[in-house]
Amino acid sequence: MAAAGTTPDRRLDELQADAAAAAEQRRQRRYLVRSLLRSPTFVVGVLIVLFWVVMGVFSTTFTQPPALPHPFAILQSPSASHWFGTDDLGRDVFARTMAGAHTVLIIAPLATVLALLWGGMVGLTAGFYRGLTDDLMMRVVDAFLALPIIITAILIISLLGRSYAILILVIGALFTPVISRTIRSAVIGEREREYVMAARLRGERSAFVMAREILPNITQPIIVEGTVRLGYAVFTVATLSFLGFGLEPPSPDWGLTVATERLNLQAAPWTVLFPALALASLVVGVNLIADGLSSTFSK
Amino acid sequence: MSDDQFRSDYAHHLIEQVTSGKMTRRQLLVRASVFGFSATVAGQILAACGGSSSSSSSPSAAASGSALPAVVTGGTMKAVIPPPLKTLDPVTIYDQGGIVLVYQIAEYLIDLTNENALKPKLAVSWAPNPKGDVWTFKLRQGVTFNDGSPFEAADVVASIERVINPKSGSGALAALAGILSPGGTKAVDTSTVQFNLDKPFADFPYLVSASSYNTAILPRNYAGDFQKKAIGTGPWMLKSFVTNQSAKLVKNPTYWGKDAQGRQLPYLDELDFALVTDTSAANLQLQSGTVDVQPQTVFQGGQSLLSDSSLRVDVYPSTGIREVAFNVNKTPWQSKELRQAVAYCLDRKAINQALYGGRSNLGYDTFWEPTVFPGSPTPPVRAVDIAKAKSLLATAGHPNGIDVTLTVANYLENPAYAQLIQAQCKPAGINVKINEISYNAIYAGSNSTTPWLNAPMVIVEWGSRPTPGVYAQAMLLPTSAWSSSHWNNSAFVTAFNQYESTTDEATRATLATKLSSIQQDETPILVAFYISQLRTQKKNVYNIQGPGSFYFDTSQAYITA
Repeated sequence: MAAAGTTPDRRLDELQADAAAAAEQRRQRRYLVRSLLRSPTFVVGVLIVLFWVVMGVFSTTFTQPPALPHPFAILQSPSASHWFGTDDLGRDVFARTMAGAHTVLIIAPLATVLALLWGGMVGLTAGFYRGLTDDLMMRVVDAFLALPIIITAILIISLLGRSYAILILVIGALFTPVISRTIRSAVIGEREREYVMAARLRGERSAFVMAREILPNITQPIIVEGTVRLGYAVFTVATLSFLGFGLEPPSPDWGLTVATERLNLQAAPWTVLFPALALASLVVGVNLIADGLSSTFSK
Repeated sequence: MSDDQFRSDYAHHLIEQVTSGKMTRRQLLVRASVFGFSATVAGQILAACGGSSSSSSSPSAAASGSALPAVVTGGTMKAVIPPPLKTLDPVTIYDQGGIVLVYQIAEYLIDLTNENALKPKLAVSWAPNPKGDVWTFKLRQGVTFNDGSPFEAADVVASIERVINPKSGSGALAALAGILSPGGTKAVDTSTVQFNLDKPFADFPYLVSASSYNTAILPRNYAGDFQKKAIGTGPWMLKSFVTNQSAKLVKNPTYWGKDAQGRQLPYLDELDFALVTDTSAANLQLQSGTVDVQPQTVFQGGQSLLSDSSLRVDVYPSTGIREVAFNVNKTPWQSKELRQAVAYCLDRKAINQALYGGRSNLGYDTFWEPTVFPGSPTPPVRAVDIAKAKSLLATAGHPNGIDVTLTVANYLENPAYAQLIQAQCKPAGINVKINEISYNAIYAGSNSTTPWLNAPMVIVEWGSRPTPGVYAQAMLLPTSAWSSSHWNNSAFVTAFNQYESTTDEATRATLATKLSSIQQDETPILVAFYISQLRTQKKNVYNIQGPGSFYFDTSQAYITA
């Protein structure tokens, strides 16, 4: 009878404990969100990024076609009809600057997500298994980290050609090593903790422990690392385009525009100034979000 | 008929052409120069036509006023040019930086005036036989190379035989192939050279002039080490050369050249070149006063120079082009109608405005353009006609439009030109994808692999050529070494051979009309404009000669205080 009477009580205790844990998680989430919304750094960053997302998606519906030349209106200074002036082919710089967000906000986030996926797998595996697996994987990662990102990207793009997909793959691959190191460090900090031990004692498979037990507990460093890498990805896309290994004309991509219009820097500085400011503002916006996340998570 | 009789008859023929209104006075001067008439004799022929015998003045002179200030000798002139893309060697140079440098040190048999007419340099006279397949050149005497060795006919023979040897890798082959074969150049005596051509060629002197920039005259024992031991008969000697940085030249004290007053040339003591790849950096050097002159200013990016009150920008109506070639061996460009469709999409005025501020001369897809080659027949104007383009597209079997790829180097205004073509073709349903590659990449590889000769559609930049025939010889014949279109039209070839083998100007005019008509109708290439070259200098720099671009004659240049 005693055993029969204990089981429902224990189930009730477990349910109550689970409910309390879920409530605690919800409370922590609410606290995090409130903290983030109270962080001016984070809010300003989000507003800047949001602005460029909206511009990237919708700007072509209310601006002039960004690729349409007007040869009889080249290099006109900013005016009521052309807020940011016109470029060397008479194209509206405002339209091109706004549309330029579109390309970078497709390539950079997707490349970052790809790097998080690949880096997450490598970091989780190496940090979880440690030993020879860790040694081997990290030496390979070290070797890749020694490669200069831009030069390696140029070499790969020279071989494979230029396209959205290749840019995403290349930047994703080149950011994988550094992300894997961050995630491995976080995993090493978690793998000896009691909940991981308990999962192992329950006989859970390693993949389950990594994916369902450890991963949810290292989301904060992953989010911060991902946001930081996003800023770098934006800059890498622009750098590659500037060097002639990114997108092709007549793309309004900011890096490409700065590269092609820099010849007109003296005669028409607005052709370079606005795309450069746009690029800087997006990178600053992403970095402000990363700073806001980092300081909130560390409280 | 003797050569002298032939020249006399030809002089009378020119007079008849001018007096009957079939030839302009400018064209007479140009044609007279081809047949080796001196400026004095050409002036006399012109006088016989009636009116003044003066020719137009140089842009430099015109821009700086009719009277140049008194000559100032001595001093250093600093210029900025792109660095040579290959080792400095007159036999193989092909880029602006290399050509400008070689032009200062070595000389050609014939040079070009500011109007693209021929003027004697190391050759003092030249004349063809009546058939036009043997040309005899008399050489200047008393000329020495800058190492003290004498200049003789054997040096000319060696120089020309060297560049027409296929192993040399010289670009001169592109112009001389099928016209002059190895063994065809003979030294008659130490001061006379005879060229025995494979076929009559009326424009032959141009092929051994400065416009064929690999035909610089070098010593017979030249070993290919020009960058270390720059040898030539020119006004300048190479003092130092630092790859991608600088080239310093000092005056050749034994130079044969004298000015009209008998003063020794060059006037300047030194000529320093800054080798700068980046156009905006080069423009800044000019504006900041670091350098005195830029031999070739690119309009795109150079707009700020045009309004700089401390600088003078001379405009030379050159014949340089940006060829848009359709490779007729590759799909879909076998279709003449498709090629014509693209031609009817182009708004040439708008392109000229965007790329050159409206300064260039419009072209209508033929080399026989009267605006740049006086005396050429006037071709039908090809205005924008999107409806016609769509109709041609449908005839070509693409009623719903077509996707094509245009390969272009990231060089000069070429990418901007490609974008204009892309935008202007779109309304007709021709979707142009731009494949932009580096300047080195577009010229990399062998003739069978290099993008500029093998891409289906490609933009290629051509420096100024002095006659339509020289252009056609280089790129429109089956034998042309630089044919990006690979066009092979037997009617054109036949007419072209007739055109170059006759000295009768009326026959040449008739054949020119036929050639122009075939070229425009077939449209193997687009020639939307003939570029006007810009040369920018400080206002105290005077008397630089040559028709712009890499023709940068500094032998009579000087700088006032």
